Amino acid sequence: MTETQHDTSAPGGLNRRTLLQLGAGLGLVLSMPAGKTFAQGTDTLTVAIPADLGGWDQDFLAFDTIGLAVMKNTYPFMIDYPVMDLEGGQVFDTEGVLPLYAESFEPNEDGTVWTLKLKQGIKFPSGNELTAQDVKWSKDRAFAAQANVAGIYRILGLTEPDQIKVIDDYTVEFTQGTASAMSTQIQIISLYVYDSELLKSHATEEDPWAKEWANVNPIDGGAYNVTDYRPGEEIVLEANPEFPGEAPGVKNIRLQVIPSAANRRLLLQNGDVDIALAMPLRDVMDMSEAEGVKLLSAPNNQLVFVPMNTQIAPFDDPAVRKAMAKAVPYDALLKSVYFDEARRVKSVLPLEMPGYSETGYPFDTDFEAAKSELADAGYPDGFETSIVIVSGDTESERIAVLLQNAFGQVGVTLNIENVDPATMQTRRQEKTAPLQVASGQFWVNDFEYLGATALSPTGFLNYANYNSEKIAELLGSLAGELDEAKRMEVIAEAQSVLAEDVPWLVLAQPNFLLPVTEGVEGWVQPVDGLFRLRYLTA
Amino acid sequence: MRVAAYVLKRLLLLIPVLIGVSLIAFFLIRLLPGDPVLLIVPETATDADIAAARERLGLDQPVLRQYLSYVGGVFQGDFGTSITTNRSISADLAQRIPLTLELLIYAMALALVLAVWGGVAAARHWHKLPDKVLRFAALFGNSVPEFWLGLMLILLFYQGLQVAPAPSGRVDMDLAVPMQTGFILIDTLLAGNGKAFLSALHHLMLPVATLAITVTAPLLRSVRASALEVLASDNYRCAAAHGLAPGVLRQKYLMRQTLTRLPALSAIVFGNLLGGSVLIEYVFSWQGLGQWALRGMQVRDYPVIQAFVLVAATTYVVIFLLADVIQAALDPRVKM
Amino acid sequence: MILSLPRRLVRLPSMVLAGLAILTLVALAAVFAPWLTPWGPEEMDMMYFLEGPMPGHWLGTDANGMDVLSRILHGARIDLGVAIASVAIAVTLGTLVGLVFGYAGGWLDHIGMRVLDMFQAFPVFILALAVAAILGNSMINLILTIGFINAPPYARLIRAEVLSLRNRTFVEAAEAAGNSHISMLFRHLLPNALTPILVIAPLNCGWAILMLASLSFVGLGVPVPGAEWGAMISAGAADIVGGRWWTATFPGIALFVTVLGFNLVGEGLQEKGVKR
Repeated sequence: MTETQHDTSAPGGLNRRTLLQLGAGLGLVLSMPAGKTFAQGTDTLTVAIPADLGGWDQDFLAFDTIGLAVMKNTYPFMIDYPVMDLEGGQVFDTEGVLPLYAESFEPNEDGTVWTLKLKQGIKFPSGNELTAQDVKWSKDRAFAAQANVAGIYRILGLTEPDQIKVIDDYTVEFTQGTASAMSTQIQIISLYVYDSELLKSHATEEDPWAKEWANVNPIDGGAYNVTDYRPGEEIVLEANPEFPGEAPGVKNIRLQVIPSAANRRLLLQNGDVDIALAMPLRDVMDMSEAEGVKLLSAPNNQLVFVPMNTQIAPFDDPAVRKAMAKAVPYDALLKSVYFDEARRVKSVLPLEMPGYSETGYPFDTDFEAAKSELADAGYPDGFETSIVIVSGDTESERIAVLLQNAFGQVGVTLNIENVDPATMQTRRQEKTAPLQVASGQFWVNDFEYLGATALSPTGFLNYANYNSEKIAELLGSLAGELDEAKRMEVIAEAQSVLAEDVPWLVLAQPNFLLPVTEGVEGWVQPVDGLFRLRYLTA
Repeated sequence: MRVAAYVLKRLLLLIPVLIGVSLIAFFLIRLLPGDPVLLIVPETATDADIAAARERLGLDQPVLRQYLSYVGGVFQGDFGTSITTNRSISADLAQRIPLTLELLIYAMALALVLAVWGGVAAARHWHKLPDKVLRFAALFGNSVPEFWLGLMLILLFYQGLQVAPAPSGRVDMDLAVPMQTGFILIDTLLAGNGKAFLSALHHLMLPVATLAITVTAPLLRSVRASALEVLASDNYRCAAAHGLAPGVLRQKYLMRQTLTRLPALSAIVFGNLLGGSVLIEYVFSWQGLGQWALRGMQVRDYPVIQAFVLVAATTYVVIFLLADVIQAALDPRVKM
Repeated sequence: MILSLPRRLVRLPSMVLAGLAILTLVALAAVFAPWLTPWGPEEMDMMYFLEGPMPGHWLGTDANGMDVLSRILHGARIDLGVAIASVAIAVTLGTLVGLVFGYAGGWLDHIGMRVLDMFQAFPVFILALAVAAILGNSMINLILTIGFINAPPYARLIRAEVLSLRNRTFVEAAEAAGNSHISMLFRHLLPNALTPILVIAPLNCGWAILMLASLSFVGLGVPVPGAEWGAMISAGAADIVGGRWWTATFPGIALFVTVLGFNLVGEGLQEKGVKR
């Protein structure tokens, strides 16, 4: 629940091509009335999405980026990120908090106790008022589920239901096990609330948390309510008049499930949908020239990298990893895979993550150097290895083919293994892939989070199987450290360690481009990949 | 009575086959690399979380015990719950079977009409132009991948000529009718909504045509061959020589005898359609069994795959049984 | 025998000859592929990604900058190879099983046929996906998978032939003469049962190519960037929508023509059995 692995893992929804292409996109959003009228100020948008959601119960939904994205719009989330302008696009300000259902969300002096004050008089669609009891019940449910939220709360030292207390009808207190610079970001992900009275009425003895009911009945009360749901075909949303934030820009949104990317494209070009999500970049670029279609763009924190398994020979030798970093054709990759709609990243940190420094990955393409360094490391004739990708993910395929070609020039034979999403997940769990293509967004825009999840032995994104005492020590010194200057110092040091260890080949940071019909505006690029439909206008 | 006894005997023979199929499916998918549990637990899951999820799903039990409890459920109409969506398999089946059946039945019907008409016409013009054209046309359809043909038809009729509807959904969005039987043509009629009925036909047009085109060739070949045999038979020549009216001749002699071989072949073709529909559903955004199973396969959703295999196998064997019965009815020479 | 071959050829229906002509051309392309084009099938031309037909790349390049013409020519090796090898496996496997069941009869035949029923009732696609997932999608495994899936109809056919031959006089005579079971199977029953198989095999080759294309479409065909027609078509299918027709159209034509060649041969051979 921290990074969306669209391209590479997205098992939630899936179907061949569409599946994995979720990547860059993910964001989704709106559209126009059915039909080809390009009227301004329409109150209905149609969005083509590649897959249906896997279920409606967020406490139990994992790995389903479409599902999580839809829920971001239909569940009441107490707080969210504020929006800011960046390089001509709109993104989230990951250092701020936007209270929605909350009046405020503030820490005490040492940053361990956070108080959530709710606005009064907000009603669920059932007519029940949203109160502190709902928050408490919902988080008790999350702990009982032992799934998404419970997992991510561990980062804050929130491990027991008792740590969350109702103070009065509109006040809830969270007592963390530790202070953390990530408290608000974690809570933005986790603070969604169920209509507890409603769910309790559907609870049974064997199912006290009404899981069965919540899984098949849309949970409403967010920016949008679900007015119709035809599984596998369509989700119809209508703006919730009770939503306490700024009113959504478009009243009705229809999310249509169109598994084939080619069909999503055709529908958009014909004006039958207003937004096409999860489109391959090639199609997106083409569509910029189609009549009635335009591209919305925004800076994106999606990072594409190739973790090298540091426990599998020859990648257990840092010298080999370093040599391979010089055998990557960075510029050709930006051009042929991303059509120059991506930026080079010279660190393990993505470009806009606080503390990013080019000292973190100081490598450029240099086949000669790569070759001689491989020889020095004991591989004068190269070696044979393999890269694992999810079949049907065209972007990963392109990358793998390009690397195969480039590695061949330094004597390394690269076999491409394409596997289905389930196999990929297992290979990741068992850490048996020598190389793989990874692509996703870090949901918390902070190195402490990145390090804990992707560069620590226990991290669930540690595809490189990387284990460094030095990095562990540096991450330890970040935990609970709230002083900005000290944090930056530690992050800089970590990057110089990583420049020597090179656990990943850092390929690129693609831009976000969304093809929409003329008239659609207001895309805010989400740091977590979960589109917020309420900002759209048409 | 004889027929009933025969059908009963055949039905009994089906039981070991279906048990075998379900056993193979059950064990085969558990042999596959890839663990569905890893796809439903959050990324933050600890080993204990994973073990708990496995236990909740009953996947920690010995496989044989899992199988027995699964079979026990199936006999009570309970196909279990999807691992990845938590939806009841029975509900998914009820929703998706009609969608796929609708495609298959219409495609099969269309292919049969084309094959019978074309096959007889070809035989009557043996080795003349109509024969050659018809056979080549059928071979053409038999020589292209179905997903490719579907895509081409979409490009031509939706994007190019704009006479086909968008490849999504079963009726135009604003014409949705309440689902009662799940068969859209029937439901639109029940709703008394003529416009929706036409829209549904419109949406069925391309996928049905695609499927039918790809399977017509073997049927046509068989009809033509049978018709040629009949035309050359003493029986037929004799009847023709006696000056029977052409209509009677065609109906009583040519058609009836020609069709006797068709049921068995049709059963095989229907089986192929069942397989081919997987890709066609994908190409036309058709939310039928095929897409459901394909996705189930990719994420190792065991109950989904098991249910699909069971449904497909049952359909297959029942169709074969039906074909045999029809054949027997058409051809008195066949012993029951 | 050798001398009579040309005469036998002449007596084949024109459909069969047309099909054989097509297949011969394809086979020649497969054999001489490396000499017919300057590019390797997986060689990237970093100057041209997804460019249309032009001098040097007569059929254009694909999204990886690989020459479409070279890939089609080399693809003939894979597609013809997989088709013929998988059908050979299907025929061998099916024949052995059919001979044994048909000859043995009794409970072995009974159980064997039920097992065949099971495999035939099993949805082909799921079976193919499962085998590919277990064994991985290397070329050899694809051949085995497709061959395995194709085997049951042959077994059925051979068994039926054997059953009908068993009571014929020449078999009875051979049996009476004290021939062993094995030699009965291979010297007497097999040659007589083979004819119907040879008629179906070409049709089956065409079907095997289509099956391979379908597997590619769901990402389980030959590993990327292998030059296989079905994989090229499914990778290029998306390009067509954007007007880049060459990446999928040319391999589509190659695949169509080849399958058509097999179908012509198969259909023509079947026709031979039908007399007016």
